[in-house]
Order: sequence, then C-alpha cells, then structure tokens
Amino acid sequence: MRKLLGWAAFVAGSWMLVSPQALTGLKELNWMHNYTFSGEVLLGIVVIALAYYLLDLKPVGKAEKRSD
Amino acid sequence: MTAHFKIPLPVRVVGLLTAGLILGLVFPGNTIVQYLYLSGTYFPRAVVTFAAFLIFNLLAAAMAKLMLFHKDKAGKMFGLILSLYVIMGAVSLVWAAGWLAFLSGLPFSLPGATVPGPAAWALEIGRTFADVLSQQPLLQALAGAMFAGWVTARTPALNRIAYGFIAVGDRILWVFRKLLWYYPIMIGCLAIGIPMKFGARGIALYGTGVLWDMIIVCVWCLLMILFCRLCTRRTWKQILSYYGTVWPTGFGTGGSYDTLAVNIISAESDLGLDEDVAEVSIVFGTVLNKNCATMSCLVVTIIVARLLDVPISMTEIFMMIPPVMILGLESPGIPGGAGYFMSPIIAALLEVPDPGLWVTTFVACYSGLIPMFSAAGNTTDDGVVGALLQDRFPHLLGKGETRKELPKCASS
Repeated sequence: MRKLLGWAAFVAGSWMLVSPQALTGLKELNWMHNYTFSGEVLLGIVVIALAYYLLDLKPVGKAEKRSD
Repeated sequence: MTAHFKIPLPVRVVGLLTAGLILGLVFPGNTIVQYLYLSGTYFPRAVVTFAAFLIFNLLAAAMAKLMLFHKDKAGKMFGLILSLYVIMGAVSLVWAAGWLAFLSGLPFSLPGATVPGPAAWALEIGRTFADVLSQQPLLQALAGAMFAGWVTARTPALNRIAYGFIAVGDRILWVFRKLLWYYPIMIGCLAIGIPMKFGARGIALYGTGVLWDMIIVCVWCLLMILFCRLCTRRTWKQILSYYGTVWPTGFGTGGSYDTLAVNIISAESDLGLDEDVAEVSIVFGTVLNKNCATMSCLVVTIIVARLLDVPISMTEIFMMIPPVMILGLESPGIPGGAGYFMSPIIAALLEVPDPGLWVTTFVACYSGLIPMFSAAGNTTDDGVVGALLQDRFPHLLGKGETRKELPKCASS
C-alpha cells in the first residue's frame, strides 16, 4: 500500500513538474499545459519528496559511505 | 578486436558535425536531409518538455550527494573546497562576460532601454531575475532542487528523500549514458539545421563561437598556470608536466569523468600533490567544478541569440550568471551535457519565443570543439585548486607548515 501510494505520488509530482513547461518542447505533449495551475511546480516538489519518502529508493551503482 | 578499431566519441561528434554542416549547406532543400534534421530535434525537444523534472532531480541529487558523501571525504576542508570552487565559478563567469563584451561588441543594454547607473543596473538585474524566478517553472525547479537537496540531506529524518533524489538522479544519468551512442548522430542531424536555416552565416557564427571559446578558455588556462606558479610552491616543471598530461586528455575525451583517473595520477606524480589532497580536490572538482563549461554556455548563448535574432545585451548576460553558476554544480557527467540542461533555463531567462528551436540550436552549437575546450579547462583547474589547498592551507591538512615559507601572493 505504501509503495502504491508512493508511485501514485511520484506520477502526480512528476506531472506537476512537467505540465507548466509542456507548452514548449514536444508539440505532441503541449496538451499537458491545459491542466496547469498557479504554484504547481512548488506543490510538485513537495509531492515528489513525499513520493521518495514513501518509496524508500536506494541509489544505484557503488555504495558510498555517508558522512556524519 | 572491435575495441581496437572503436572510434572515440569526440572524433565521431566532430566527424558527424562536419558532415551535417556540409549536408545542410549543399542540399538545403532536399527532403531526406530535411527529415534527417527533423529526426534530430525530437530528443532535445523531449528534454525541454521534461526539463523541470530532469533538472530538479539531478540538481537535488547532486546537492544531496555533496552533503551526504563528499562532506565526509573532504573533512575539515569541506567548506573551503566548496568555497574555492564556487568563487572560481563566479570569477570565471565574470571573466567570460568581460571577454564577451570585448569580443562580441554587445551593447550594455538593449536599444531603446534607458542606460542606468551601476547601482540601478544591478537592481534591474536583480528585479528581472526575481520576476523570472516567480514566473518560470524551470527557475522554480532549480531553486527548489537546491533547497530540497540540502534540507533532506541535512535532516536525518528526511534522509530517505535525499536517497530518493540520488536514486532517481542516478537512473536519469544511466539513461543518458546508455544513449551516448546516439549523441554524435543527433549532433550531425541538428548541425544540418545551422546552414539549412541560416545559410553560410550560420556556419560562420558557429566558427566564431568556437574561436571565442578557444580564446576565453585558453587565456583562462594560461592565467591559472601563472596563478599556480605564483601562489603555490609548484615548480614550472611540475605545472607544465601536469598541464601537458591532463589538458590534452580532457580535450581529447571531452568529459571530466573520462579524465578523472589520469587527472588523479598526474596530480600526484606530475604536480606532486599528496594522495589525500589529490583525491579530494580532483574528485570533488570533477563532481562540482564546471567553470569552463559555464563560460562556454555564455559564448554559445550569444551565438544562438544572433542566429535566432533574439535581442540580447550585456545586462542579460550578467543576469544569467547566478543561475548558470548554480547549474554548473549539476554536473551531468556526459559530454556536451551542459548544453542539454542549461539551454532550457537560458531560454526561460531570455524569454525566447520558441524555446524548442532555441534548445535544438543551442545543443548543435554546444558541440564539437566547444565541450572539448571546456573539459580541458575544467579538469586542469581541479589540480590548481589541489595545489592551492596543499600549499596555502597546510594547517587544515595537519601538515604543520606555515604560509611564511611560500612565495608572496596577493590572494593570501
């Protein structure tokens, strides 16, 4: 359930980051901009941070020792 | 056997770039050539569409990595190293802007705009930047990434989020590295557009950009050599051996990460740095220092603005310095990566009418020799910072030497 919520938040947060910029770039995705709202990017950052908290992702590649 | 005959990436890029320029110049109306150009625009346009997501995750990951992993490696020197690279980034951008004012002959402000005094000018830059920050999603993502990466890495309860940024950032870079084979093909296709859209003027402007970049980066490197000789205890032989090894390697590979191993070895054996200093300064610099790439971005910005007839003056160039400097920390670690990730931000700052066209033209112009000069400058600067740390701040390394033994330097 936690993972499911995490992935849902990831999709929602990613959408919020992408849609305000969607008017530029690929014409095929311009329609995403029709659903944008004020302050969407900032809300998207919060939602995507929540998604990563729920998903508990691990970095790929070699393990690095954390400090402190 | 196949590896023996493998053509290096920079050679493929330069080869296909040249082929693209020739095709666009000779067959500008040919349907197949036009489709080839069109095929090359899809990838950079996709990057523009997803730019806020990509830049946010990459920058937040870079910031989180810096705080979580490298702080431990740099130990007490963390703040000093970070400050040195940030100062060097700022100085090099001002340096490039100064050169560009001279080389490009850009006006101080746009025609029709009133010429303000220095204070009013600085205020205007700040006001415009604040307006853009409040309205542009990409700039918000940029500032948000710095903040989110820093807060989540500093707060133990939020470290899971920081690891999430790092994981997603790693995966984004993995995808980009997997697509490296396509990079020369895309550059070749995009290069068709320069003469096709802008004629011989396009090629002439690209050549001008390469020339400006060569002047700015090479004179900067000469000054860094002089700085190293005057402000550290390195001898001419040590400095020239180091530059003679690392500069051509950086130039040849066109990427800081590809030069990392040679850079560390040469910093120890040629420049005479201690192992711990060399590893910290070079590794840290490879991750963090993209000062010559940011200088090149200013050069390419002017070239692309002229190609697309986007109004630009020195005011806009100075306004670009803070965000470009921050983007220098993003370190995508792929050849020509600065072009992908900086160009959408620059398009937003300049409020260009067609950001897609801006980015595709920018990526095409930020290729060939330009990233090669950038990588050569970035990598050798890391060694100079290492020498400065070892000789000027020995007390932080626990070596017990004093600065009295060193030659006089204005900076100390």
